Amino acid sequence: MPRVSFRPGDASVEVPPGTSLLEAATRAGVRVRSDCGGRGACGRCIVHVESGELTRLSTRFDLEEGEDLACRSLVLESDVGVFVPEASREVAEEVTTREVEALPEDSPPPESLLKRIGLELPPPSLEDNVADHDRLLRGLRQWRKGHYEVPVGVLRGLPCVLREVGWKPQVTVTVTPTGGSVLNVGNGRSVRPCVLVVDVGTTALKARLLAPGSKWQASCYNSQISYGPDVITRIIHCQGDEGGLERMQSLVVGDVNRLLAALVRASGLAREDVCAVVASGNTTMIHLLLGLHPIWIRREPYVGCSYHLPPIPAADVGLEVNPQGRLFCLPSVSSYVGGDITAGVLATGLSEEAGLRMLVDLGTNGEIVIGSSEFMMCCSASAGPAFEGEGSASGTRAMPGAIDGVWYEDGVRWRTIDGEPPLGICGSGYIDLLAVLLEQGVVDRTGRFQEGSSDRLHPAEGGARLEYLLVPGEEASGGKDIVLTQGDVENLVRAKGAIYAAATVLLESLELDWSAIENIMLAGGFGDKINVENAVRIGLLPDVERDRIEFVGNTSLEGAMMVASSEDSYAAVEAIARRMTYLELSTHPDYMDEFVAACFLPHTDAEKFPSVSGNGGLRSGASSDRR
Amino acid sequence: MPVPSVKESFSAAINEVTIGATSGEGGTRSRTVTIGGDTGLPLAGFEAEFPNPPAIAMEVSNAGVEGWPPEVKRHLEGLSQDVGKWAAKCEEWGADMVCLRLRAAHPDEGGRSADQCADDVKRVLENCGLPLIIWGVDDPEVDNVVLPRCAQVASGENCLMGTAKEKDYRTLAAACLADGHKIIGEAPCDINLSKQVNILLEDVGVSVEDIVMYPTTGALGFGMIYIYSVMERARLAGLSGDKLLQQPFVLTVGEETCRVKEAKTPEEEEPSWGSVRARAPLWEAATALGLLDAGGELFVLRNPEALAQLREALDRIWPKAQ
Repeated sequence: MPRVSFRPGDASVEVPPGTSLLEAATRAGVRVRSDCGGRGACGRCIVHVESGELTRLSTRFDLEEGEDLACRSLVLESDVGVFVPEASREVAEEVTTREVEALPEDSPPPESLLKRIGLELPPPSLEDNVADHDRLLRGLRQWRKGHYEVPVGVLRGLPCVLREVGWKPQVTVTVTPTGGSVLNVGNGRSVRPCVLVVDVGTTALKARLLAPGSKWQASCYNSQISYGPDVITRIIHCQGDEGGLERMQSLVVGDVNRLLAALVRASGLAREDVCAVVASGNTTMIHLLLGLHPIWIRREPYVGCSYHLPPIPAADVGLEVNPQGRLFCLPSVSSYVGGDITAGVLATGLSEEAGLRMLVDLGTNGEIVIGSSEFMMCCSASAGPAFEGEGSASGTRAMPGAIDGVWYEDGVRWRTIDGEPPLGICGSGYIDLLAVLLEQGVVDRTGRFQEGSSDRLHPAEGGARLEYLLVPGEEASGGKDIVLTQGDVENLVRAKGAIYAAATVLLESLELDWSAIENIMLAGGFGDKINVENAVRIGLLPDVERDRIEFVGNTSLEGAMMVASSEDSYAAVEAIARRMTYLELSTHPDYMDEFVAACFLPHTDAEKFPSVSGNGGLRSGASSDRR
Repeated sequence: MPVPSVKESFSAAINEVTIGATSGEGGTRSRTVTIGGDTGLPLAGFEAEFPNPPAIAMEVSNAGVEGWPPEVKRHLEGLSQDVGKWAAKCEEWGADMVCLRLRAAHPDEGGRSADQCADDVKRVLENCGLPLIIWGVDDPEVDNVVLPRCAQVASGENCLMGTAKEKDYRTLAAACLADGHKIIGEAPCDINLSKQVNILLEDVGVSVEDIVMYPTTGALGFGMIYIYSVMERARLAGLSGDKLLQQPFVLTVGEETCRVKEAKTPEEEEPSWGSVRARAPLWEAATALGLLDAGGELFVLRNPEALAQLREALDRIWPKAQ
C-alpha cells in the first residue's frame, strides 16, 4: 500500500489507494483542520503536496498554485509527501489541568459506587470445602444480598491472594442494580480504588478523579471536532463510510484516556487504581463513546440504540483503567436529551422541589428542562458551538488565558481566567462582548457591525466584512489578533435565538409564561461565571428579576460526580430519566417562528425585554452617521 | 330574542401614510395619495372604518420592458424607452401613483449612473403629476449610491422610496430623513423579519408612521398563500396594538404576475386556458384583489387593463364611508 508522509514532523501511514489525504492524516495522528467533516465544503484543509501522484476531485475554492484540499485529494498507487501549513493545522490541544476545590480525604465515600469491603472468610475445611470462588461470594452475600460477578481475571489470582491475606481480604466491588462486580481482591494496599468522572461534551471533555484529596480538573477538546462541530455532522460521518463509527469511538476514547493519564499523573495514582468510570454526555456522545450506531438518532422518528445502559466493562470500550473496571453511563431521556441533562437535573435538585424551575444547558445542543417534584418536561435545540468557543475566529474553551469577561469603562476592557495572557474568548466573554458592543452601538440589533462606529472595526482579511479587534496580536499569548468577526456574531445570535425560542415553545406548550418560573438556572461549561445582566441584554435569558436567574456551571460533571459518590444518586438519576417527558421541537409548528423572532438583540418583541430595550447607547451610536 | 352582535373591534388602527406633496406642501405634485387608516380587517365595512381606499401605482422601468410578456408589452409600445412619456401615460390610464423602478442602474442592466438615474426621476416628475415611488435594484452597492442621489433631486416631493432591508437600511433611511421621503421596509415573507426592519429603521430615527411594509409578493399560482398568511398575521397584530406592525403594505403585483406561466402562456400552447389577452389582466387584477383581502393597501401593477379591472372591482367592493 502507498505510504503518506506528513511534514512538519515525521508522521506517516500506509493507506489503500483512493484514501483522501485528510483521512490519511487522521489515521497518522496528524490533525488537519476541517470544519465540514471532509465534504469539501469548508476549504480549511489546505495542504501542499510535495511528492507523489494524486487524484484531485473538483473543488469550488480558488486555490493557489501548489495548494490542495486534503479532503479532495485521493492517494493513488505511489507514496505521497505532504506539507501541512500552519494555518491548516488543528492546534493540537494539550490536556489542560486546573486546580479546583479539593475533595475530602475519604473520597470516594463509603456510599459511592465503588465499595471497599473488608471480609473475614472462614478458612476451608473438610466440612466446608466449597471452592474459593463460592467462599468469596458467600462472604459478599453476607455483606449485602445480591448477585456478584467475579471476572476470570480476578479468579486467576484468587486462591493465592486469599491464603496470603489469611482469609481476610479487602475486596473492591462496583455496585450494579442487582448486586456488584468484583474488581480486586487483595491486601488493601495493592490498589487505591478511585473513580474517573467525565463529562463528554460535543465540543470539550472535562474530567475529575473521585480520589482522596483530589483537586484537579482536566479538560480537552473533543477530537471528533475535526469531523464536524456538531452531533449531526458526526453522525453523518458514521453512516458515510466504512469505519466511521470506529474512528469516532477511538477518537473520543483517546480523549478520555488522555484526561485519565493527566489526572492520575497529577494525583500520584496509577491507572489500575481507577476502578470505575462515570460518564455523562448527550445521547450521541454516549453512543459514540460506546461504539453504538447513532445514525437513527438523526432520522425521523429520532430513535437511539439505548438510553439506559447497565454498567459495562471499561476495557470493552478501550478505556485504559483497571482491567476489571466498570463504566457507568448516565441515562438519557431521548435521542436529544441525554445523560448530561439528567445529571444536571440531579445536580440542581430540580426534581426534588415543589417550586417550578427551569434548567437551561447551553452547550452545542441547548437543552431545557422545566419542572418540579410533580413533573418534568424537556426539549432540545441545536444552538451550535458558538458559546463553547468553537467555530469562532478567536474562540476558546474556558481555560486559563480565556477572556471570560468584557465591560465598558472608558473603553472596552477585558479580563482572563487566572489572569493569564489572553489566548482567546470563551462563552461568557462572548456574552459580555456582544452586550457591550450592542450598548455602544457598534452592532445594531441584528448584530451587524456599524461602519464608523468604533476605531476598532476593520475590514476582515480577504473580505469586505468588518471585524472587531478586541486584543491586538502583540498583546495576545498566541501572537494572533483576538477578534470578533461578523460571522461569529451571527453564530452567537443564532445560538441565543435557538435557546430562547426553545424555552418559549416549551413554556407555551405548558400554557405557562416566565412569571411561573421561580428560578432559571443556566448551566454550561463556557466560563466560571457569567454576567446575568448581559445575558439578558442580548436576549439569551428572559428579562425577569435578576435574582431569579442563577448560573450553575457545569452541572453535567457535577451530576456525574454525585452519581459516582452515591449509590442513591445513581438510582435517583435513573428515576429522573424515566420521569422526564420530551417535547420534539423539530416538528413543532411554532418553533421556527419563535426562532426568527429571537434572532434579534434582544428580541423582535421589545415588550418581552422592557428593562433592556429602547437602548440609549444604541440610538446615540446610530445617530453618528445620520445626515 | 335579539341576535347577538358579531362585530369585532380592535384597539388600534393601521397608520395613514401620505405620499406626494403639492405646491402648497413644498412639492410639485398635482395631488397626494393617502393609504391606510383601517380600523379593522379588510373589507369588513360593517364593523370598521376605512378612510382611504387602496391605491394603485403603475410600474415604469428605466430598463425598458425587455423580458416582459407580450401581453403587457403591447400596451407600452413607444413608451418603454422614455420614462417621462410612460409615466404621463400612467396618469392618463387613471393610476394613483407611478412606481419608477431603477433597474437600469444594475451592472447587469447597463449600470446606469446615479446622475443618470436622478435624471430619470426628474423626467418622471416633470412629465407626470402623480406622487412617485422610487425603487432601487436590490443590490446595496448600487442602491446606496443611486438612491441618495435620487432622493436629493426629488427633495420636497414626499416620495416613497425603497427598499430598506435588514442587511442594508442605513443609507436609504438617512437619505429619506434628509430629503423628506417615506420609506419601504422589505422583509421576505416573515412577520418577525418585517418587524425587525421596522425596529431597525426606528432605531436610526425614521418614524414608524413613515414606513410602508413590503413583505415581498407572490402572485396567484406562485405562492400567494404564504404572503397572504404573513400579511394577515401582521395585520391582526397591528390592529391589536403592535406599533411595529401598523404599517400599510405595498405589493408588486404586476412584476410577480409576469412570472406566472398561467398569466402569459398563449392560447395556442394551452387551448383550454382561453385567450391570454383576457387572462393576463384578469390574473393580475385577481392577484391584487386576493392580497387586498389580506390587508394590501398599495398595489404596483403593469398592465393598464388590470388597472381598469381592479379599479372597477374596488368601486364595487370597497366599503363606502358611512
